[in-house]
Amino acid sequence: MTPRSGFSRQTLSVLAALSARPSDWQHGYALAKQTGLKSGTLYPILIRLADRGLVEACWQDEPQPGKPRRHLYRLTANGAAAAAAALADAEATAATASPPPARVRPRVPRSVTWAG
Amino acid sequence: MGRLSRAAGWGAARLLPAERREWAKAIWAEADEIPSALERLRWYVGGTWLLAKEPLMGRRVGRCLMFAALIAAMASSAWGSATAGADMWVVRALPIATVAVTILLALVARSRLGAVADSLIARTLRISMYLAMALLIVAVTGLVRLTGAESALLRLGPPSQLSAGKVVAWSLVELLLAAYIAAVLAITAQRSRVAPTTLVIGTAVGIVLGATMYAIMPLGVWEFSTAPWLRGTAGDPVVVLAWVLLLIGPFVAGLAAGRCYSRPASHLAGGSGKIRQGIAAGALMTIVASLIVCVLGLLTLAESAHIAWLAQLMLGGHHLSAAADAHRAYVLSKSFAIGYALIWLFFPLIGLGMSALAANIAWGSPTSEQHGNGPGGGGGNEEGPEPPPSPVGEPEAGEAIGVALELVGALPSGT
Repeated sequence: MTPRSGFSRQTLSVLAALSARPSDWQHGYALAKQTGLKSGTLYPILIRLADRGLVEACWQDEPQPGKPRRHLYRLTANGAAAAAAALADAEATAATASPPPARVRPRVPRSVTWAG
Repeated sequence: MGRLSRAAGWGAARLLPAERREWAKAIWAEADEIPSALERLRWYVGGTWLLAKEPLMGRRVGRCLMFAALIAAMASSAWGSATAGADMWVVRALPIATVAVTILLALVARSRLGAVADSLIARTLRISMYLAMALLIVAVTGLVRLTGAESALLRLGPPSQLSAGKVVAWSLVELLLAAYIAAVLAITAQRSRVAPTTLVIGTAVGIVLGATMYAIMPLGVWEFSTAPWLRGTAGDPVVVLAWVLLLIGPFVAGLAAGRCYSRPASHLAGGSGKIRQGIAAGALMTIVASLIVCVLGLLTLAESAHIAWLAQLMLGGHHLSAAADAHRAYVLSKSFAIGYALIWLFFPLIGLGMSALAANIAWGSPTSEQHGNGPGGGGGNEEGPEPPPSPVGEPEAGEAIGVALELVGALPSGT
């Protein structure tokens, strides 16, 4: 069930992971481990959030020797506000949602026939 | 393995639009941090899936595969079977030179006129041009093998003993190919300002002319029909039709293209824009026709000496060896070179000339310059106040020639 904020469950998990340390830059693999998402799911989410201005990205300044520079992500100010609202909304939705009562259908014996 | 996968990722990223390239590189760079090989493989799979889902990816990958297939076809033709002798190196030099010239012209066209225009007809024309060039090379190498040992022109000898005449002759062949490639690249580029309807009109009339001429001369350019289905006087009406299409076709295509053109508000004054479209349609028409006649004709000549059913169809009951002898005699004759040279050289000139004439008649007067109208009636939906006269004065025949030169890249745009 999609929460009223419009973000999918996977997107909310990414927002939650970024909101845990809003001022720190985080790597893609670290986010993948926190959220349990695969790269083919995580990165389209990050791309969409970046296109909407909720996430900012940059390249690592000083990579480790012999390794390529890594891409880093964190929430923007708008992103932090949107994430807080979306996560609060998701919690509220989860708390208020409850399954409907089971409906008991009367059993009609086979021998009974309706009057025509 | 790590370097290989990294290189593959960065190479694949080049196929993406610029705004997505950074993300592809990010996914590939992150894989270096994953300790487990299986997990790293899953990471690459996810990244590859992300690239594959990009909207333009299918088109770009398809384009790369198509180019690879065309180059493979040319290479197979040139290297696949034994040449007639060690000095028949032109069979291999021609494909290499053509591919190099094509790549160079494509890069120059991209830098000056932008990428291919965003219309189906423009992309189709470019792909068809590349395919035609590849088939032409395959046909020419086939004919060189058929006749090479007996042809003074084709048997070049070792490079150190090349004569100036043969160098000039083969350089002219390559120059003609380059001119055709450049013209199609220029007409189908984003900044060429040739409308899609113009491309459609030019291509359609060109296909009709090309098909008509191929129906008359599938086995070479002679004074009479070489088609087995047009013997004797049966070909006369078709020949007349071909002449009418050749001379009147560019005229009509030019008028139709200008008539259908409705200029954007910020563009050239109505008359100049319509002249440009008219000339482009006429030139394109004859380029398309010339390619159809030459590519199909040379391929038929080359392959009907090897394929039994084609020889049967074209030469009626003759064996392959008889077909090969007949074709060899023709290709070695002067008629072969002169006939196809005339088509290659003069078709585009006729197209340019007749369409420029039509465009100038229709939209070359001061009245038509102001209103964008001509004998063909009003063009487009122009409403509102009458635009001011062009500051450069009334267009003359010289402007039509200038537009023609601009289209083929001899002049910068906007001159």
